[in-house]
Amino acid sequence: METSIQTFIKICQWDTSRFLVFSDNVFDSLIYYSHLVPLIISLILAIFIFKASYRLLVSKVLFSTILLLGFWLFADSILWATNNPKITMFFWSLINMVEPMIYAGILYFLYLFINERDISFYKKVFIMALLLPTIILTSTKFSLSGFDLTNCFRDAIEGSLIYYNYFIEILFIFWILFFTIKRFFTAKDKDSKRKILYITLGSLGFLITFAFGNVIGSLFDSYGIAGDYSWTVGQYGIFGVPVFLGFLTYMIVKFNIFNIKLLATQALVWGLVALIGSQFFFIKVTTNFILNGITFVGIIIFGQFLIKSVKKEIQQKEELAKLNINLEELLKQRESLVHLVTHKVKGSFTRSKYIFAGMLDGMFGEINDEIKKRAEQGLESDNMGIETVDLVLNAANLEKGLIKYEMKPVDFKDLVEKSVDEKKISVEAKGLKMETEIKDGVYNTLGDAMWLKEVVNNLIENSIKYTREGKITVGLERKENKILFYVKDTGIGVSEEDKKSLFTEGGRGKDSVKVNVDSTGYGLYSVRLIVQEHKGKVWMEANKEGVGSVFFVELDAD
Amino acid sequence: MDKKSKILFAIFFLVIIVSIVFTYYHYIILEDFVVFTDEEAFNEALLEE
Repeated sequence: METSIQTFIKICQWDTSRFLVFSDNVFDSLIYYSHLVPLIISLILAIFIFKASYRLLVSKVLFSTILLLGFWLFADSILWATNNPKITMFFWSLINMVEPMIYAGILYFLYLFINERDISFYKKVFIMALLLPTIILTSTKFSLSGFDLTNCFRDAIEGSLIYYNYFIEILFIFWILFFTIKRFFTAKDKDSKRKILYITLGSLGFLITFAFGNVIGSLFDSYGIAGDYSWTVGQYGIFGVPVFLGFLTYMIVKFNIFNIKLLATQALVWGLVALIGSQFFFIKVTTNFILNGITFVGIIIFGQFLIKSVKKEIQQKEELAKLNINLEELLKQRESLVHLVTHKVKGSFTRSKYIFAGMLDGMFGEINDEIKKRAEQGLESDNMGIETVDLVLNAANLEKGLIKYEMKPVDFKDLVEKSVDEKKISVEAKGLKMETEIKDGVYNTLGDAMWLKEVVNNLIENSIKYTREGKITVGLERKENKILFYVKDTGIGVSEEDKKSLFTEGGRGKDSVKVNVDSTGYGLYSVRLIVQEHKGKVWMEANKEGVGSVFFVELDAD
Repeated sequence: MDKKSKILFAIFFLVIIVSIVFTYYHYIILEDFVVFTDEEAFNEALLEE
């Protein structure tokens, strides 16, 4: 038999393959592009996945499936090139074994990706049991019944096992469809649905393009649809394989298993290297060979620089992200601590306030003037304490967005006048004067009256606290469709350094603390948050009439 | 992945490897396969040569 086979090979003028995959037996150089380029790209993708997330089962499964595909492409290239029947028989039978395993790999990958957990042991047993006949019977006549040497063919003759293989491949596709459609309709949110849709389309696209090379080529050849180009048409399908594989890889990336930026850069660089490198097999002119060589080396060197710089950037971003997480945790802890402490403190102040109030009301019997004086001081101190706690609590709630504003038409002029009346007593008690500069006009605005009053009160109280002598002027005027409210004082003013911390959380200026030791730094911060929620502006200027400062609030007129 | 599944995968891969080795032995070493030839075409070709 050996002699006759060798004679046939000689008569048929089959070429001996070089490096297993290169020979004149390959009828069209398109085969190199359709097999070797996807093979290189697939291997690069497999390495990326392994490098980036080898601990995750979903990555391990996709990595293994891509390796199987790589083997399939390599073995198929050998079949196109070889003139050796025994090599054809060996690799052809292995290709038939690997094909259904790729379908099973994609099914397993989809389960892991969509469900985000491993499949049951029994499902694994079932999938493996389906594959077992194909694997066990690979070396038997059920897989390949012989080698066709008639009419200078170089084909293995497939046995009945191929029908079983087709059957389980179709079964896997239906399984994929059934599983993904079911999960699509049971998915709760749009994002999950989109994720399932994309990954299913990517997987089916991959399987269809993978099958394209064989099925379409074989069908076209059998029915003479594209004449001599039947197999050529089929090869175009395989070009789609790395595209869909890339898509599946991207899907893993999209869900943050590893970084897309680095992957994209590496894929771009190594894809270029692969494409330029593949040119070496076809270039026959020396000058072109040298030019291609220079480009090849250049791409590798600059590509490495690019990858390194992207890696560095990603590392820095990751470190920043970690710091951010730590900071967020710290802020949360601080917030809950502030709430706990302020509630406890407020409780203590309130209890003590009622004791002092009870003493003054005679609840504990007659008290002498000295005790009455002390009780009044205690009550005042407790009221101040409660105010401070409320200020801090309000600021925290305002910052977190826990305050629900009831936006209604508000007569801002009326609100300011009431506030001025209420504060007159404490102004006079401090020996100060209070003036108003309210110009005629309508001062209606849309807002929450309670919180707007908080703004007005806060600014007036602030001026009282920081003014030792002179006067406080509260003004209101209309400027087209805006309302301008201001509080002008003849106080200590705000130093340049303190201006930086004005309106910030806990922003207590160094100079302001000297005058007001009880300053919390939350008053103006709350004012800013409330005004911002009312789409207004708040700012401070130095009093142009001399010492002191002016605080402005600008709101939209309704 | 649990231990039971790991053992299952190990057995599965072992079966694959055994099958590949056996196929290699069958086709590459023993060359145990039928070759279908068209004798007429073969003889004609020989005569032409």
